[in-house]
Amino acid sequence: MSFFRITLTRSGIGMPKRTQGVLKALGLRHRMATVFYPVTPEVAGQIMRVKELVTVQEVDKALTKEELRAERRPEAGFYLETAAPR
Amino acid sequence: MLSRTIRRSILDTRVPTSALPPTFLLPNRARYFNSTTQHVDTPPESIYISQLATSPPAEAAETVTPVRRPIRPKVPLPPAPISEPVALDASVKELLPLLAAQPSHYISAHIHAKPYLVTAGDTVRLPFHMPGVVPGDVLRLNRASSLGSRDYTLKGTPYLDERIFECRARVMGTEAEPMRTKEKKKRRNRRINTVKSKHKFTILRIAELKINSLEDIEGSGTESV
Amino acid sequence: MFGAFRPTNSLSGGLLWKIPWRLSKFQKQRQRKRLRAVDSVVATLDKALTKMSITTRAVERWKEEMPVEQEMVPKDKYSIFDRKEKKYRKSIRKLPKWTRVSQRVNPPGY
Repeated sequence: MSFFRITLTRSGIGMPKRTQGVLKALGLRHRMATVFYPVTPEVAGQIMRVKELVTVQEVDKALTKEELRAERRPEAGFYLETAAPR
Repeated sequence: MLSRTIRRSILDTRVPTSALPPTFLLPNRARYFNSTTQHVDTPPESIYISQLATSPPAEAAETVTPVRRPIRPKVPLPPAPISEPVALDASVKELLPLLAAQPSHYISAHIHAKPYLVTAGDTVRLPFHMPGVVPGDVLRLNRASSLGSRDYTLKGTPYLDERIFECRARVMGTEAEPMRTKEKKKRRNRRINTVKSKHKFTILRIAELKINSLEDIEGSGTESV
Repeated sequence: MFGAFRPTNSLSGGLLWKIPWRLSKFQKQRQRKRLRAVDSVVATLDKALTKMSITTRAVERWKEEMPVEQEMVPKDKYSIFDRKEKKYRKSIRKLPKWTRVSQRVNPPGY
């Protein structure tokens, strides 16, 4: 089961109602919002409607909101080696 | 169990039903009395009273749980050792001993993706308060983008392998900025809201910066394989 | 002739907006980049659907009718047909929302 990872990169402001409605149906409320949908002809048709506004990747697994956040978080760059007595 | 029932019966007989119990016997007051940490030697009588005064047994457990909780969930823990051997370029292998032989070194260590260009003995005031550390803790900095000396520089792509160097920082304490106040006022309204802020910053000292020798680097890789 | 109050077009004539009729090289580069971005979206969709052996009319029609960026002639990338213009061509930036709509084919012969 593969998924489309859809990210809205261009805003839908000022676009026709039909286009904005597709974005709403996909759940893309603002730029850089990311959603996951299974690969189906229906979703493909929806993406074709907004293809100028989104970037699409095909992924194996749909990530949760927390996993998306963790993806963006940079590495700490340190760890506690020896702890002082407390 | 038997003694408790006897005690209760005695209490019941002593206190008339119409009279109110003293304030320290009230449930909320008794709980407060029990949960104060400053009060070291709690007399056994008060515990008994608190148990009498409909306090659930979970509360006794609650005073114990802070000790059982994992000590530092906020500080990153040491990562698992990397199993694959270090992939070093031939030129890096050639020049790394020369870099190590230089008298002093600098490192551009990245903490939360922000670079800090430091050398051993430097004091760093981090622009944030690092949670979960106390003075005396030794942190190992394992993310660096460049490492060098006066004559040589080793650059990472984008980061260096963390087995090449050892960089340790000691937590010196926290520092606080002077209190800042900012007046917030809206137009056509007399009300002025004063916002106060006073941030804390963690101070680190770079305790050690060492470049590992080639044998150590390659030995650590093959050893764990 | 020179100085702070020299008679320029905008000072003597009042409202004057000068819009260059062609795109700069950087605008053209960004336009090509946008065209390629749309191509990559369609390619991703096509690849994912063929893997599951599904066809979608919208994707098939796009592939049939629309040229990809490399196949387009520069004239079509940066200008569009307009019957009211002198040489039947105007800059693509005259198209409303031109950075967010697909405009790739023009009438044959123009």
